[in-house]
Amino acid sequence: MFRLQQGHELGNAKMTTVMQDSRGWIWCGAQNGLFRYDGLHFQRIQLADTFRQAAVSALYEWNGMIWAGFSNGAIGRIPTTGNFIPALTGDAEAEKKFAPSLSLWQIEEGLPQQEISAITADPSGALWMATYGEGLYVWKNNRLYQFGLEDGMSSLDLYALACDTQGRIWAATDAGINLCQISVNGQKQVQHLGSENGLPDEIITCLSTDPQGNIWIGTQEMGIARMDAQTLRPVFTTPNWAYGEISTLTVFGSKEAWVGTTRDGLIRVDLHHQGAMPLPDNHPLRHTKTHALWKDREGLLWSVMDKGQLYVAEVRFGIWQPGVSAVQTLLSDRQRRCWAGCQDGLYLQDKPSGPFRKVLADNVISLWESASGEVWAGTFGNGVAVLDDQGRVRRQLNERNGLINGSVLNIGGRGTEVWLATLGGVMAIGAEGKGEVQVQTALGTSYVYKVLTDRQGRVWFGTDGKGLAVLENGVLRFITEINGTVIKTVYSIVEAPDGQIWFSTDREGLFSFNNTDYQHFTIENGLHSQQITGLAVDGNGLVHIAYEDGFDLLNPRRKNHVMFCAAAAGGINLNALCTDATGNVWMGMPNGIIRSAAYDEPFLDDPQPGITAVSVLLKSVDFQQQNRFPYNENYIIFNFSGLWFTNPDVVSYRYKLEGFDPDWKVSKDHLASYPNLPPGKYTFRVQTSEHGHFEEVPEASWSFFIEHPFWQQWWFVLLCLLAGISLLWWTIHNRETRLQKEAGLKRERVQAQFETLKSQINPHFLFNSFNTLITIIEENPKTAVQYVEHLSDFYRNIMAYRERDFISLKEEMLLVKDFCFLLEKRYETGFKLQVNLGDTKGQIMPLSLQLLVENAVKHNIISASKPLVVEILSEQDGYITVRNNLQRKIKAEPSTHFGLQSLIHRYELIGAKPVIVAETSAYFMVKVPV
Amino acid sequence: MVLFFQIIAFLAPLFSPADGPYRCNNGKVYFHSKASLESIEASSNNLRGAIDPANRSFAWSVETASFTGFNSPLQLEHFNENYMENSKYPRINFTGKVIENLDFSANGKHSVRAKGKLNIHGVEQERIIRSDVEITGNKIRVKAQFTVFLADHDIHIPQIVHQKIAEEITVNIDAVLQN
Repeated sequence: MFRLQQGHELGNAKMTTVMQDSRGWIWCGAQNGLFRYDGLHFQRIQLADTFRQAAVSALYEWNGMIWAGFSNGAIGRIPTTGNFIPALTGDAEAEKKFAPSLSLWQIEEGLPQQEISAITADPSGALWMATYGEGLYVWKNNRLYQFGLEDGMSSLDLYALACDTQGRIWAATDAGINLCQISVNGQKQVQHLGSENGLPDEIITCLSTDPQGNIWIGTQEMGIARMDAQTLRPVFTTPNWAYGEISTLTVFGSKEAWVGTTRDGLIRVDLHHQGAMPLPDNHPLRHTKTHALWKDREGLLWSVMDKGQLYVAEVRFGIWQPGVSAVQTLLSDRQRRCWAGCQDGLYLQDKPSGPFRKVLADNVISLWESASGEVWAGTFGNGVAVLDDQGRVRRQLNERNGLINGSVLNIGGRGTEVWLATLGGVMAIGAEGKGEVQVQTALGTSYVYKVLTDRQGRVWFGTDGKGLAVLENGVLRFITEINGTVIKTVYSIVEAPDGQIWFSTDREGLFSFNNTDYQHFTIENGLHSQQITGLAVDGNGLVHIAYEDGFDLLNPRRKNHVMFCAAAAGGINLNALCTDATGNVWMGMPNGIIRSAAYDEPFLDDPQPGITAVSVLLKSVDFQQQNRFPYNENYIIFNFSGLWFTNPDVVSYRYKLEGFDPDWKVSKDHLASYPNLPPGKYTFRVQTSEHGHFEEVPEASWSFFIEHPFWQQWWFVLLCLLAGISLLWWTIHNRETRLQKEAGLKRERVQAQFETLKSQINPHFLFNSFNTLITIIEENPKTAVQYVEHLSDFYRNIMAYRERDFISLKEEMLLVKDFCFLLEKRYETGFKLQVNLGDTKGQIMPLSLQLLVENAVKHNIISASKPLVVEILSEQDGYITVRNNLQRKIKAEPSTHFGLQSLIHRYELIGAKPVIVAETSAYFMVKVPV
Repeated sequence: MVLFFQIIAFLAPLFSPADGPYRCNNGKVYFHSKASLESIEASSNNLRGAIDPANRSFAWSVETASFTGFNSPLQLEHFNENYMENSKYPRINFTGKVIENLDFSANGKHSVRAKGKLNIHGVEQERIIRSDVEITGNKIRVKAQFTVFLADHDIHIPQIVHQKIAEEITVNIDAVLQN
């Protein structure tokens, strides 16, 4: 029953204390260390130097942290959800860096100097620390307070602490109990409980809280006691305690307490009859010291024993009646004493859990207790003996006084009617030996293994060959087929607390009947075997199914939830199971009687899954905080645990990554790895089972995201779309503008050409030209010919250039010179053109310079006395300047101002440098870009 | 103040001259308030104290009016009149007992914790104050640093001054006692 927990990680560590945290991990304090345990491996917690030379003397979980008190008064803490890195990186440095470590609790007031004997918290959020030598400390509102002698403490040496349902702190001392509190207004309150309050012993060595919130005390000499929270007096005590000083205790439901002693090992105290049972004399833990006990959430008892060994025990199952062996039939009577029928006789306990004495020498194979407390013992060949509660035979029933056969396989009944299943058939008689003997002939002479009268008054018979029979309202009915399965032989029939009938067959497995429907259980449903030797249902409704090599516990409230417990070979006999008045099941085994306790306290009955670590790209991440990862951090490894200290080796896992895996994967491994996950939303789910069936099992899950790369993000797509649209719009807009400009330019040019032509064929110009011509024809016919040539050149050039956007400066100057020749002939000395272009080359709008010269002629007085000098000069900055001396006509020539404006405008449209117009008192000047 | 003298008076006849109480009249108290906008420091050299080695009890007392070193005379006035109300509560007292079983005849440095009642502004709070004790012959030098929450002692400072006066004041003690 007690399994030593060992691991190479422990080294030579000597354990001092043990506890389980809220997430299920076992924490073990040692002489020189602190460990976290999952049932398979111990993980050493790094300790600061302050703690090194000291032993862990107290452990407590509070505020998401494990608080460890040490023998030198130091207190350390470590978060329970800390970074317990999985050993998978292979990087020893990183593992060391991230290894979980206990850090010193640093407070201004300083920590105690004496051993911390206990730590506990109250509901108001204060943390209480008991010391051995310095009294009681409390950490409240970020201040440390002390309860010392002057505050009313009975002693400064405290052994233990407990918090009751009213928030009072119970402190165990050598001089009774101190109930400590800090009132609302900050006053320290201490109430003393001593022998005047009925304490059996004033030296209180340990305290414990039971599931109902009662405080239990363990004393130095007088055993244990339960304290009533209202009257503050003990309501349960253990008089005649014979096992010395108690060092620790823990309470299971309202049924039993487990007590650790300083010299007698572990003692089980039955809370119903105050019986204290030590371990068997030859047990290695019988005469040893117990340092610490802890009841875990699976109902296992952890103990730290004398030399610092850690044990775990499934105390729910235990061989508690080793005195008798080869039990054929078993009965627990209303006084909770066991009756055991064996081949060599019938044995009875004088008190519960006490030793057995033989009360009958017959080969007893069946037992039944009547309503009046008489026990009927059916024998092999010698009829039935009816005994009183002291084991004295009251009367005998045999073939001579009406029994049809002397071998009685089973006895059942209710009220005044007793049914006897004999090798010669089934009969009913009055319970007090009176009444009619009634033989159930319809059942024939075939064997009937079991008779059960249920609470509804129906009588059920398990036959060999005729299946299940039931007698209801005087009608006998045979059930030989259930949902297509043929039932021939029924061995065992029991009624569960909820009224369901359970029966086992020779080879078809187990059935249940809830008065309307049958349910069938086979190895498919997780049964260990279909060779069932016996049945019993405990007070919690768990069906105990006995086999040759052990027994199953079937939980009918869960689907396919069966737990197998191996036992010594030889098996449990058909009648050797019984349920006692408090719901425990007793089973007769070849090596004694085993008890399966039905604790009235809920314990977990599944391994508990938990995700312990998540690594991304082989690096552990804080998955409690972070659940979003970039697209390239998509290699994820999950570590998980399935804490199940009952049997850590059998735990199997089923996991699935929602969003990736189509199906569940079943594995015994503690990790799952997913390289190269595409972006998306995932949920990792893991379930644990101890029997390989994953219906209705607990689950742990964690959801996370792998983000899309930025080029797949909505904002990026939107941005690109926007940029595209902008670019398109900009292109179209540009093109539109350019086209508009071009159209404008074209229009301007057409107009300019028109205007130029109009001005050149201006009758005035022609008239003047012809006048000049007339004058020179007579005087100088040669010059006249030249004149006409220039005139025609001029007109031809106009025609030639007007279609072009640009002409070279040279071409323009030829045009200007033709024009000026005509003007010089006309005005003679009144007009002068001076050209100084140097070697300037470039392009220019056609007729632009000619236009400027023409304007000068048009707007200025021209005479021999006031000659008009037009200069065409080239400038350094890429301009051609046309300037004339300013001598405005008094009467201005009618003008549209179109010429100059059009020139300026056309240069604007092509986007060249602007045309500059300047006027001083002496000059009028226009600069045209080349 | 009355309590302080009662204790001194009570303790006095109990001591034989050899291991009588250790006393001090000129211990130094220094406090420091570090708020976001202003740092205030003040100190007093008038700390009086007594330690009785027989039962490890002690009594300390300082007049609030003896503190000097504020940033301005106005601050000193505020300290005395508005916050400490030294006309009503002229003294700060700390009386109690050393938790550790300290041997006063053993020369050397010891770290002990003093548990007692700290009375500031007429409001008594139980405190455990960690102190460094250095014993040399008939002299004991006591050094300690601890924090005082103004709210614990019913000293209310207007909201607007919170940036100038910390709600948590750090106090340092340095005193040499002699018997």
